[in-house]
Amino acid sequence: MPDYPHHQSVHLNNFTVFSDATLEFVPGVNAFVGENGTGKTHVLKALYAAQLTHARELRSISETLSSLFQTDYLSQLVRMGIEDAVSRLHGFYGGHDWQWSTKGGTTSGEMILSGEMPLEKEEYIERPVFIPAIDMMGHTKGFLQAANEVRLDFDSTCIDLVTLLGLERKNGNKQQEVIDGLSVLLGGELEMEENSGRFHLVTPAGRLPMPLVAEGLRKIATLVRLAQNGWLTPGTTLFWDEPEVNLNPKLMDEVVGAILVLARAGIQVFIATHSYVILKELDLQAGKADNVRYFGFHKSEEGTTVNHTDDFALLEPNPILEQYDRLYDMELTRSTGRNKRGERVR
Amino acid sequence: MSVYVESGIEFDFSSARTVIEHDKSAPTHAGGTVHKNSVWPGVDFCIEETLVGQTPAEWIWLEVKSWEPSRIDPHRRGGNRWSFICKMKSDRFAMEMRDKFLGTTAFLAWTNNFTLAQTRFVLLFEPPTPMDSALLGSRNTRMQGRMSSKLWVYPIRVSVLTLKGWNARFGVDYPAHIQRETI
Repeated sequence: MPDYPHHQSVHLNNFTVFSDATLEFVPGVNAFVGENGTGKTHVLKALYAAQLTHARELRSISETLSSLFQTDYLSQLVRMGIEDAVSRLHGFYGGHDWQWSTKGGTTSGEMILSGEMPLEKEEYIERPVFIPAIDMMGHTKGFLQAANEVRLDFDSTCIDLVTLLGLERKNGNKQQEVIDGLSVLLGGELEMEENSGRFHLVTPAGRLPMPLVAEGLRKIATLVRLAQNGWLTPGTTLFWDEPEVNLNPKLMDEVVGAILVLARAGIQVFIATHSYVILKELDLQAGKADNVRYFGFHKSEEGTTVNHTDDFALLEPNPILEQYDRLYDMELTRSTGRNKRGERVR
Repeated sequence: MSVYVESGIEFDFSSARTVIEHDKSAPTHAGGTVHKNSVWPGVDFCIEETLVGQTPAEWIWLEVKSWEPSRIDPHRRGGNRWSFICKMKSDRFAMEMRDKFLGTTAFLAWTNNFTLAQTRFVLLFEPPTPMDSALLGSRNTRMQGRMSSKLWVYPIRVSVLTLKGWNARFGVDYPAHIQRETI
């Protein structure tokens, strides 16, 4: 497999909930785990903003961040409690570094690029794909027109996703293995009405408008559509916030299978998840050749700290497993009549 | 000291009031009450707890399984792991445990040793690879579901434990450890 450019690392300094954290990524699958409010989605959005800004040659990363975080002022991204400090992002992508910073109390943010991206003429940066936690597949009808008319209270990941769902990428690489695997779960083919932008699921039983399709299946339909129209092409990055939302655990093995297929095809994947099943599937399905890294986000008074490991069993902290530990402990205390210190309980 | 060995795990049941070991055709231990059963499927041990002033006493019925890799020939460890996965994911395994529980009930009733008392059924096993609490908990729930019976006055409490879990809950009274042997 060619060595596609990918996010290598990011350093977050006084950014949202982070005081000083460095994350080093693998080219395959990067899974973020942590309690609510530990900044998992913030990292996804920061990386997405950096890549999207360069891929689409947008004016500045500040503008992208502003639309992603829906902030009135960029200084709102400075870590709370130290509002006059400087907030910095410093990342490495494809061997080039990118930086962004803003100062608390100001209304603007500056992005400084060190090095030119791309450095060579043949180098270019693929447009990344962000699938937010909320479903957009069932809400495509008239959405983009509305977004153009008024400032909708949706962050720009939603608008970007609806845009990509409706567009065919030129020379995009269709991910046939993903399409075939997931289409079985859908039980039909996807069809888009050109005029309205609404999607339908065409099954042997009939043509079902997407809002009538179960939300879990709409999540799968989203991935199928992106794979069909070429946006999940080697060299790009997939950011998927909480893929488990609305999904029955039974469907998660196929979804994780699809994530690994994409990673093997040269797509770097980032997921943020609260699901034990997603993580365990990833742990069990990943082969020795797969690059999978788990990141544990932990809230502390000094800001969120992040640990990483390539072995799921060693992930610390792991708040999901901690909850299972607690439940199993309660179950055993009830069934054995003894607590974990061996004391009898009634 | 009443030491018993089952599936390569050594137990010290000295603190128990009674220990019944009845799926062995020829028990080799010294001490304890010897009951032979080769007809019904049965659990490995029935342990009557020594609880001062409590009548009837409580019982622990213990079934032991081990896939502990250090005891398996290195060439067969893969098959051992596969056997474990097949057993743990199958409902048939839960039914097999249920049969052992019912078999012991029938055997004790047949020999007039059955006492109506709070009974805790413990499946103690050593997995070939570490298992987290989510996987152990789901097996516990599945087993508990299989053990429900309206015929029992007391609820049957089921616990699926690894050796570490056993020693945390029961180790003070009945310590256990893996018996090391050279393959």
